Amino acid sequence: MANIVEPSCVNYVCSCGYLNPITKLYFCRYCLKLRCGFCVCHEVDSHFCCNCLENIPSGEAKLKRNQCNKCFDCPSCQHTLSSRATTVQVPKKSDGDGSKSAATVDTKPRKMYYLTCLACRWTSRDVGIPDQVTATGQWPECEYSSATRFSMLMEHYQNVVQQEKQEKQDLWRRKAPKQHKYPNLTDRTGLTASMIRRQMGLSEKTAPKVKQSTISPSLSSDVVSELPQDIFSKEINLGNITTIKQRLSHPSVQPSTVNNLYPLNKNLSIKRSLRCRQCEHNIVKPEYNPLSVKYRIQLFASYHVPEVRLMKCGPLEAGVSTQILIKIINPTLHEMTITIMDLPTHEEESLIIEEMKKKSDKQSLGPLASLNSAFSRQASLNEEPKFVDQKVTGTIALPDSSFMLQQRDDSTEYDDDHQSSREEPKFVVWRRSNKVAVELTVNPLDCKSGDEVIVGFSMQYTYVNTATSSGTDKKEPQTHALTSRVYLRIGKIK
Amino acid sequence: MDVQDTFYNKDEYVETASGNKVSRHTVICGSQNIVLNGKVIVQTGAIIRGDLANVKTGRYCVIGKKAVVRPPLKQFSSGVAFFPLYIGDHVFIGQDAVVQAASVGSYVYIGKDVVIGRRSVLKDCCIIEDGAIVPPDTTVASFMRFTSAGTIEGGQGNPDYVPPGMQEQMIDYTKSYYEHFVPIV
Repeated sequence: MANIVEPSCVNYVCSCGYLNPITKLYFCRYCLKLRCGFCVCHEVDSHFCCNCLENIPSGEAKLKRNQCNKCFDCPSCQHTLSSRATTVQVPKKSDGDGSKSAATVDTKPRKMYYLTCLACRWTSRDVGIPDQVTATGQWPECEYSSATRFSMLMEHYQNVVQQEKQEKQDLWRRKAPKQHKYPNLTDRTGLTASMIRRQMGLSEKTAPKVKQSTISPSLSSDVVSELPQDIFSKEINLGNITTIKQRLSHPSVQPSTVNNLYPLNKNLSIKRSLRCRQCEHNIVKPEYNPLSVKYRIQLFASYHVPEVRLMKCGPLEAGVSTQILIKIINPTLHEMTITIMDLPTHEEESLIIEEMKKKSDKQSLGPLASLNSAFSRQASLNEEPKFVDQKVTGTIALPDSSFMLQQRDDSTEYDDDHQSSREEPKFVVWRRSNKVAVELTVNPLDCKSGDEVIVGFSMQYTYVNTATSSGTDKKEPQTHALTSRVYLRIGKIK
Repeated sequence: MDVQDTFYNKDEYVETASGNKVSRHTVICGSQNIVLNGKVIVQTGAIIRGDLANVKTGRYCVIGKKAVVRPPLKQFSSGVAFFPLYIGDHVFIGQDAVVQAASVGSYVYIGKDVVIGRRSVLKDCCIIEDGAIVPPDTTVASFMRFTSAGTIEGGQGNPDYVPPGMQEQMIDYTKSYYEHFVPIV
């Protein structure tokens, strides 16, 4: 993880079989499985504008078409526009004829604002948008020819949806008439509640029938206007023609020339919350406040799974074994016992996959899961577990014993003395609080020079589960033995 | 790969009582206006312009080789004015970067050869990719990544652009960078 922007050389196998660095993985405390971005449901948690950092509730965001009405993007380069102030001399309102004679004197400065892009120098004055009096002024909405047609269509389809809903409800009511234990008077006399209401002069209780709106369907026509005569002969100025990106960023207008570019309302950004697809527990849930970087729920793999880092690698030569030094860090508040083992063979891997499939089938058939999926908006599709798409080009001489790893303790950072009383296995090079450096011998398999050496191992570790939801005896944390498969890219052969 | 040792010449660097390691081969103007809050590394060739306005950094910041940190200026009709520049904790500024932001939050990664325009605001936990040019007056929100193509991508909870555990990762990275910044023996 050393460099945040570089690709990681240590990758973990997610429960679905994809390789991911530990920073992109999550750990479901309820399934006790690693989860990657594909194994979790992504849900929109909150909307915000990433320029003015204002939180916008989802209903309001829908109303505003997921756009911020204060911030604008440059139509030319899609960067954010900022408003500039200029002072203009405005003639003072004064008594009629007096101002004519002293027009130059009788002015007062007034601040006017225009939008400008500081990345490409586009300004709202370029396309003739008049300056505004206020900084977050009422910038004119760009009008487009099909606006009325679109709003009509929208209205029509909303009506259709409502009508269908009502029909369905009516059907339900007719299908399942209320069966009272004791038939009351109105049932016997055929006097229904609505009739009584009508007799009493009250309005009908049921919602008025949605009137069916009709719209004229679009018609295709054979008449296509001719191309202009000079279309092939006229020289065009490419500087005036918009790019595809500029056109598509304004889909309702799709301007073809640069003098029709209008400022675009900035699209809102979202915060996502992630949910395990198998058990539907929340895995990540950020705070609502757009300024906050905290989470309310954060089950990152780096908080639960021992992190492996490559520290040092000897010179790599074909056919010659070398030593690598890896660091293993225990991020949990409990001691861990770690055993490094061989990667599963092809048969073993298929067994693992088989078992996982079975488990997910069982879960989706369960009564609770089906109930949940009926209510949740997004049907949960489980990521199919698959084989790891990574060939190993080296073998590791496994350490002959397992080893302990102390719990994380933030105060050890300030301790001076490092205890080293424990009897250490030979392969442990050093140990410091919750970190241990382990030396392993790597043997590259039939590699040519320039080939990348990739080795892998299974890491079994004890994990103390403090999640309280499972089981009846809530107090007692349970210890599990979990296994993660780790692939290391250790470098290229000389 | 884990953070590797970065060696420095003991004669070149000054270490203060609060643990700041500042190279002598730097241009530090107006040092009375500069506050480095401890365990900050200022590497060879860096320029910090405290003479223009106050510059304040948090703990565990790394200012890379030949990076320029200067307060932002704003033009008014009556002239120009400089504004103080605040940098949060655990911020990495890559080599040859020019930072003229109004404020830089905590846990921010600024790549190498980056130019950050005047009065930009970088919120906590954002990444500026190597070679990116951030135009003036830009806001980069938390968990956003400013790409070298000039777009702002990501958002909290999106694992593809900024790692969800950016805060812990930057703390770990800057701390281990400081620990692995060792003199040649």
